[in-house]
Amino acid sequence: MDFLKNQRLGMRSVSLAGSMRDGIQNDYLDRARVRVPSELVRAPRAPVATTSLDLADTFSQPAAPPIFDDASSAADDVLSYRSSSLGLPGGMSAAGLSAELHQSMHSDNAAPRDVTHELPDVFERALGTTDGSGASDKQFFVLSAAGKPVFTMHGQEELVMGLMGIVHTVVNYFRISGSSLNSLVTSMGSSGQSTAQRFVFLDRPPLLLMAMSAREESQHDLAQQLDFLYSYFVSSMSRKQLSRLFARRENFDLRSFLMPADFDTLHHICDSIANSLRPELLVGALRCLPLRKSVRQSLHTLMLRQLQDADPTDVPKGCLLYGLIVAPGGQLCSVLRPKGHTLHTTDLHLLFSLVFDRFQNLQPDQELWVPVCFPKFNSSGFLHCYIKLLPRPGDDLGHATALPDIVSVGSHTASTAASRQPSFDVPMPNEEAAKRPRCALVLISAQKEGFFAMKTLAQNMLADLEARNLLKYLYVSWDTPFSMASIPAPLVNHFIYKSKRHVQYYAPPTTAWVNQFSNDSSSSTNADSTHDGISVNTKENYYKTLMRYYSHIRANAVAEDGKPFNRSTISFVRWTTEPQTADTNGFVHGPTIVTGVAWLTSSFELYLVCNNGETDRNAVLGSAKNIVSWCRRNESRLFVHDGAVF
Amino acid sequence: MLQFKLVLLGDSSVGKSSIVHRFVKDSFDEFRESTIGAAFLSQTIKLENEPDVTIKFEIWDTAGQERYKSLAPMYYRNANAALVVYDVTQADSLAKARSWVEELKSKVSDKDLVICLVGNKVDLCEDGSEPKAVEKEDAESYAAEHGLLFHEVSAKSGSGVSAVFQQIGSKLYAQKKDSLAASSQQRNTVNVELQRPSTNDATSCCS
Repeated sequence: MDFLKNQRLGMRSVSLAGSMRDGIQNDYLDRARVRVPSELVRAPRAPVATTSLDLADTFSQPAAPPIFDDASSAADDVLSYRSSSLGLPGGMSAAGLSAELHQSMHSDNAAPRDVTHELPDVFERALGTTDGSGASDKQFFVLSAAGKPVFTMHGQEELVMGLMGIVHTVVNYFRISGSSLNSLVTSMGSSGQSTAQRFVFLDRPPLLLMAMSAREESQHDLAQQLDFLYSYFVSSMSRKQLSRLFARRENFDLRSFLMPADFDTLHHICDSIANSLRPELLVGALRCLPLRKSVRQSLHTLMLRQLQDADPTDVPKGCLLYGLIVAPGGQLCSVLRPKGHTLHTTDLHLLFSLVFDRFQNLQPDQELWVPVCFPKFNSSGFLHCYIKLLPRPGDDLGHATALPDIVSVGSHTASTAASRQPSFDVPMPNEEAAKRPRCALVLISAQKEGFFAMKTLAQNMLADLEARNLLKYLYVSWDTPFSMASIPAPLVNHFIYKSKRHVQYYAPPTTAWVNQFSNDSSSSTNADSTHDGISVNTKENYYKTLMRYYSHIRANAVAEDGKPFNRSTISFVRWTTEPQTADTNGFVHGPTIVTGVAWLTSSFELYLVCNNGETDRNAVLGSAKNIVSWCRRNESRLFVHDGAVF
Repeated sequence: MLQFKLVLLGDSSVGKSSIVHRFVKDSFDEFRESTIGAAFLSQTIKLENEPDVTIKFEIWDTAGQERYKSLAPMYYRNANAALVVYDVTQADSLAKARSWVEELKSKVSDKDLVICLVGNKVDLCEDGSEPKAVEKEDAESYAAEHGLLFHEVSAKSGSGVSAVFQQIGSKLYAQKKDSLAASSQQRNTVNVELQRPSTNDATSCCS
């Protein structure tokens, strides 16, 4: 795994008239620009070649309309690409690079290799210890402006206090010298580490946040992650209260003010950023539950009707601000909103993590009334959220039984149950059934006295949902997601499709791939298997690996500020490793070749990771095209369009 | 069926939510997350001494944390009963409970408000893992002095929990009976609703 090649090739995708196609090859290199990110060429033992061809102005771009209007013109896009040999502009010491690139461009022609479903992990895991010492390939610190520790992802605050002191000193040094420190990267090779560590700082007085990553994440991505962490602090206590706490005493110890549950939630957030497949932050979009168009429309109409038909004495006008139906894992189903207002995705991510991570033990017959500050909506005030889980059809949770005799002591949390997707039909023991993940109804009001109005509204909505059988549709949709097989994208392991207009993304379920991954790696990793066959450890590894591919793929297609290089870009990333020697079982594995694609246009973003061994770029582009047209065809199923507007 | 509103108050992590869950679900969770804001639950019981009387408690389980204190008045304002909870292993929590009792006495105009002082976590003292920081007699005499009901309970083992709600239910029912009798003498109407009509529909969605 040490020999890591990373080749990048950015390309322009445009609609071209058929007659122009033949001329493309020569136009290709007009303004090619070679960019060699320094962090990628540092490894003495790992020759890494990275090229980026910025072909922004090579083609004439038909003006404003989206890149293509229908699926068939998407095909033109892809067809317009021709593989060609590349020359490099003079004046750059890139002769070696050129050769490298040339060779890799022709690696398509090499002997056919086996294409497998598995997704190998080509990344170094040298630092992957989380033994509490604070050493890891990912770390978050939060400290106060005065340098007091507030939160650390790994390790005890007492143990990392010294490190935090250093961070504080370094940041203040740069502040004194008049510049602000945003990011710094360590050189490779120090203390036996072969990967560079990147430190990113976010100064949000009275808090100072720092992220460390040895996963080659970009500064922009890490800054996004820090901003989300900061947003949690604001959401839980509002910026006003936060600054007031520190206004009295600069050396205020925020830890004494936070609840244990706050730390749990912060750990949850860090964990979901670092170890799970939650590309929300990476692509800056929301996830939706795929639903039939008619079902989604019925949900919208129903919520709207209940709001408009409500008795104004029970539900005063203007009491409700937003109404949301959300499926487990924060997948939006339906939204009810005032005209001209939408909630920021960060605010919704925070809300969803509150509902589905914080309230894991929430029971369907419980109703919550929770003050939440939505940082992007209004960072100095609170809104009040009525939260209720939607019962599954067939739920029989002894609601009215008075003190049953059986004493059951359940002490485990629902975290494992929530991550599984149980089949809809299989009857389950009561305890298990009660822990199956449930959709939630969230009604947001600006009035702290609004609980009973929201409760009435929620009850009416719920009764209507049940009467129209919509709860059943909702849960059937959740229990039976689209399978990858229904998406005509052979050779693709996983993808993320973001519709920019909706600010929402779709990613296929991973269950099947997780199985494959765990089979593949069970021989090499010491995973502690759980009884359901999928070891948590390997699933986590799969998610981590996939996220790491995605963040690389994305980083290769966007500038440091997170904006795409061009209005329209296709960028390839290929990871290769040398053939390995026989493993412990005596099997010799072939070389690993993983191809990733980012395709960014003004209307969508597509990121995909191919199966190991897939090298035919045209086939990959064909799959990419298929995914895009599939997603466009199913747009009304995959995304919430406007919601119900009142 | 009579409906009464009940609110739980007390310092953070004294076990308010655990008591409610023992009462409503008869279950206990060692690792309960702390409450944010407030949770609303309901539970119906039959009075032991009056078997044909059913009482539905609508329960506000509030967050004990200081930062949510400003929200508390909206939860206790229309309450018929308040459970003020302290932790028998934490002397501080009784002081906090006293301040809640004072607040209730001064802010709630309803003279019929039933306040019950509840010492939780007695199981910790019984199995010897924690010393008892609040003696039963001390708390009991404080409760008697201020006209509070008093109980020691364990949400973990369940001991004493249902007795709390039984006693509150009986007391509220006795009050209700008097006022019902009084009002039926004055007017010939039977008003089962209390001061504030409940917005909670008896045919709840999740039954």
